[in-house]
Parts: sequence; structure tokens; C-alpha cells
Amino acid sequence: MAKNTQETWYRRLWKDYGNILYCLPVILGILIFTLIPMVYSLIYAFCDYKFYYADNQFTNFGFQQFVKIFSTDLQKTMHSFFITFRYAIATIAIGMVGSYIIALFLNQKTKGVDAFRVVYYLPCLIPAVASSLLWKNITDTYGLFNNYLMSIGLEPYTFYTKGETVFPTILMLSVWGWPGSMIMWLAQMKNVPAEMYESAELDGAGYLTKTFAITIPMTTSMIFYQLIMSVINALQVFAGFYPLMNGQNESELDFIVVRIYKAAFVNYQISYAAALSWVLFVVIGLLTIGIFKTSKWVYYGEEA
Amino acid sequence: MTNENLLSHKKIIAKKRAFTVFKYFMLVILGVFFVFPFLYLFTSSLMTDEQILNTTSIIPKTISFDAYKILFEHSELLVYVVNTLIVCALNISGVCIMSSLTAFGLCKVKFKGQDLVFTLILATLLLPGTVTGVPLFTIYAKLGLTGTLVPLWLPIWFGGGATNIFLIRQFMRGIPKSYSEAAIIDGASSFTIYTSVVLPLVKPIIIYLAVTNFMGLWNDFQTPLMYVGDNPAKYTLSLALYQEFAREGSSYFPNVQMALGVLMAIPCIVLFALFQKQLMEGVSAVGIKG
Repeated sequence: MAKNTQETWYRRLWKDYGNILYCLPVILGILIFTLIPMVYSLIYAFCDYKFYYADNQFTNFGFQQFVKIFSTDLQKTMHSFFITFRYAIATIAIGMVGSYIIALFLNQKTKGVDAFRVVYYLPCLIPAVASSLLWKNITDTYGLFNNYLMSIGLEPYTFYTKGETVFPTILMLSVWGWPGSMIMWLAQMKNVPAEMYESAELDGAGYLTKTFAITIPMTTSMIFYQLIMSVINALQVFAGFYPLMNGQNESELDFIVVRIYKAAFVNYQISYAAALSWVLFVVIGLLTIGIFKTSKWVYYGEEA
Repeated sequence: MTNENLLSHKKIIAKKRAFTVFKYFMLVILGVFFVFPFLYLFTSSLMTDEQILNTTSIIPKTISFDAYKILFEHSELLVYVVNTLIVCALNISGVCIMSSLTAFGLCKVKFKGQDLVFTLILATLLLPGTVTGVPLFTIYAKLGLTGTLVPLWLPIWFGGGATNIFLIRQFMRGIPKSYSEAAIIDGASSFTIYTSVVLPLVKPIIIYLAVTNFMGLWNDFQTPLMYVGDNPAKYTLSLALYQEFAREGSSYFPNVQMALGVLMAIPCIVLFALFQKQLMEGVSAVGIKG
């Protein structure tokens, strides 16, 4: 009898939880590569972690890193947040609207459009670092753009080589990054059932009406997804501009993640970097929640 | 038809024709605009040092293969290629095996707490990588793994990546229950159902993920920069392009950088040519709605 209950107990456990084995790697992964690092990061942020010491690495527990971020380094912090937000808002707003409009244009049933779409996709195939270096070369003092400007009698422009012109240059060159999102819009637009447009046409709807009453509402789930992902990615901008940094433009490319990277990996101020990354985390978290809370406009299709 | 009607009809046709011409005109203008950096990548790699430092035209005046010669004479180039291939191979196999296994565990079998696990996986998608990057570096350093390739492929073997899991799960949910029920009646274990029923059916999405993951990994710069840093023996191509060929103080000219860029772009161009439809239409081309 006792043996029997034991067996059922064992069997029930296996029946309820046995299949968790399939998800064991991912559970361990979340633990090892997300939760434990986050706990570490919190501890680092509230002490003076000495990376190169053999022992006594954790000293001076307290808020000093955050105090430093918001008092001694306040100006630097505000500047980094300012340029990061300016970058995020400008490139996301212009990029989403611009790429959406071009996608609308490409979504027409014109012969040969597909071939053009392939051509538009090509810049996406350039490796990120190569792309940064390519634009650096094109916008150099004696680069292609300046030589063109001078050949038509205009003054050369400083682009990335002078602080004031860095942001306009980033904005201008961000246009070449549009095809990536354009492709995603187009994929979503193709999923809109053709019958919707047909019945709208029967009711005498013009192109603009169809766009605003069908295309845009039917792609809101993609708009929402791209908005969230663009915000998270843009606020963590790093790889695209880090290879471009030099003495002249350093301060204008000092995005938050660049500062975190430099603090941790160049100066080994682990605690400072951890504290700053938590500040960024909270900001991104609040923004994401904010976007989710105001997402009543999103349409997920019939079944949702 | 009255004369007036005919006239307005002609007008409409003329208008339509003008609009079509305008459309093609715009398509060409946009095409030239967007293809420009891609062309420049190739043409600038064929320029002489003199031309690349004072570029007056996108077309090289004289075609020179000096940049490629310098690149291929670099003693470590093969090391960089091999490192990148190792990282990609270990990651892609990890993606294919682990993410399909995890997705199977999330939607084709049942266990208590399943929803919680799925929610946690989705939550990691929204978590900014920056918060975990710094502490992971210190942990890797403690374990002596910084400056090696291990941090670049190890995490994927723990689950296969949140986005990949999510997409395969979406795909798997479309497989009718009757398929696996037939196998259960035959007395198959859930693992047999995974290997012999589900896995063959999710092949399209696995191939799609292998291709997109490869393109991302092949070009990744930030992860190797953080964890491999300045150990030249373990540079991947992207890291080498910055650390070895472009960093301030490097003796290489931009034409050599662009030659390496071309070299790096080739596998992606080949993959694009092979999987054009899937890459352009995204997951909807492989059968996931929305």
C-alpha cells in the first residue's frame, strides 16, 4: 500500500512537471544570463566594485554611484541623455513615417516593383561596421560628398568632423537605414486581404481613404512592434557610431551606452557603469510601459 | 458616347499614363538613392590609396586591386574568418536544436507553470541588453572566458534565443493536434513526437531562422567588442575590421576597410540571393500570420 502511494506521488510529479525538461535549458539560461547578472549588476551599482583586486572587491556600500551620476557628473549625464533622446525621437519619428510612406508607394500593383524592392534591400546587406566606415569615408573632408559640393561651387560641409554638424549628419544618413523597416511594412501590407480594398472601391473610396481606413489600421500591430523595438534599440545606440568616434566629435557621439561601455570596458569602473545602466533600464522600462498602456489603437486581427 | 464624354475619357487615360511615368521615375530615383552606398562599397574597394583619400567620383579612375592584395596578404585574415565561422556554426546549430526543443516544450506538451516560463522568455525580449552586459563581463572575466570566443556562443545553447523560440512556437501551434495524437496511439514518447513528427514539419521556419541569425551574427560587432575586446587571436571579422583596420592609429586606408567589407558582405549577398522571398516577406513567407 505504502509503495503504491509512493509510486503515484512519483508518477504525478512526472506527469505534472516531467515535460519541463524541454524548457530546462531556457529556464537555466534566463537564470544564468539574465537574472543572476541583474542581481550582480544591482550589487555593483550600490558599492565600489574593484575589478582588479584579488579580494575585498566589494567596498563602501551605498548610493555614491547614483549621487555621482546626478551631481558631479550631472552635466555629462544630462548631455548623454539629451543626445540619446534627440537621436531616438528624431530618427524614429522621421524613419517610421518616411519608410512607411515609401512602403505605401511600393505596395502598388505596378509592374516591376518587385525588382526595385530587391535593389532597395541591398544596403541592408552591408555589415554594420563597414557601413559606419563607408559613411565616414564618404563624408570625410576630401571625401565624395565634399568633392561633389565643391565641384558645384558650394562650401564643403564638416559632417562627422565637427561637433555641431554631427547630429544633422546622423539624421541625413539615417535615411539610408530606412529599407530595413520598409521591408517589414511591406510584408505586413501584403497580408491585408484584397477583398477589403475591393469592397472599399465599390463604395467609391479613393487612394487616401483606403490608406487611412484600411492600410494603416490593418498594420497597427506592426507599427506598435516597430515602435517598441525602435525605442529600445535607439536608446541603446552604440555599434553604428562607436567606430566613428574621434577627438573632434566625441562629445556629440557620447550616447548613454557609449558612456556605459567606456566606464566598464575601458576604465573598469564597473560600479559606475552598472549604476548608469540601471538608470537607462528604468528609463526604457517606463517608456515601454507607457507605450503599452497607450496601445489601445493597436489591432491584432480577429482572433486576438 | 458623346464628344464630351470621349474627351474626359481621353483625359483620364492621359492622366493615368502620366502617373505611371511618374511612378517609374520615382522608383528609379529611389533605387539610385538606396543602392548608392552598396555600389560605393564595391567601387571604393577598387580605388587606389590616392583616390580613396580624395574621392571625386564614385567610379574609380583606374581600377586597382591593391586593397585586396593588402587584405589577403594580412597574416591573420584567415584566423578572423575561422573565428567568425566557429561562432556562427556553434550559434546556428544552437538555434536550430535548442529553440525548437524549447518551443516544443512550450506548446506541444503540458507542464505546470508553462505560461510563466513563456512570459519570462518574452520579458527577456524587452530587457535592454545593456543591464546584463557589464555584470556578464565580470562573470566571464572571473571564469577566464574574456578574450575567448566562448561568450559569443555559449548563451544560445541555453534555450536558443527568445525571438527564435517565439517564432517557432507560433509556427508549431499551426500543426494540427491529430498529427501527434496518431503517434501517441502508436505508443510514441513525446521526444519521439518531437524528432519524427514536429521537427520535420517546422523545417521552413528553422531554415528561415538559421539564415536571419547567421546574417546578424556574421556582422555582430558589439558582443565581440565587449567580450573578446583586444585579443587579436580571437577577433571576428567585424571586430577585426574595427580594431585592426580602422581604429585610430591603424595604418590601413579606407579602401582596405571597404575590401574587407565586400568580403564580409559576400556570404550575406549569396544568402539573400537564395532566400530572397523569405528575407523580404519575413515570417509570413514561411507560414506565420502577423
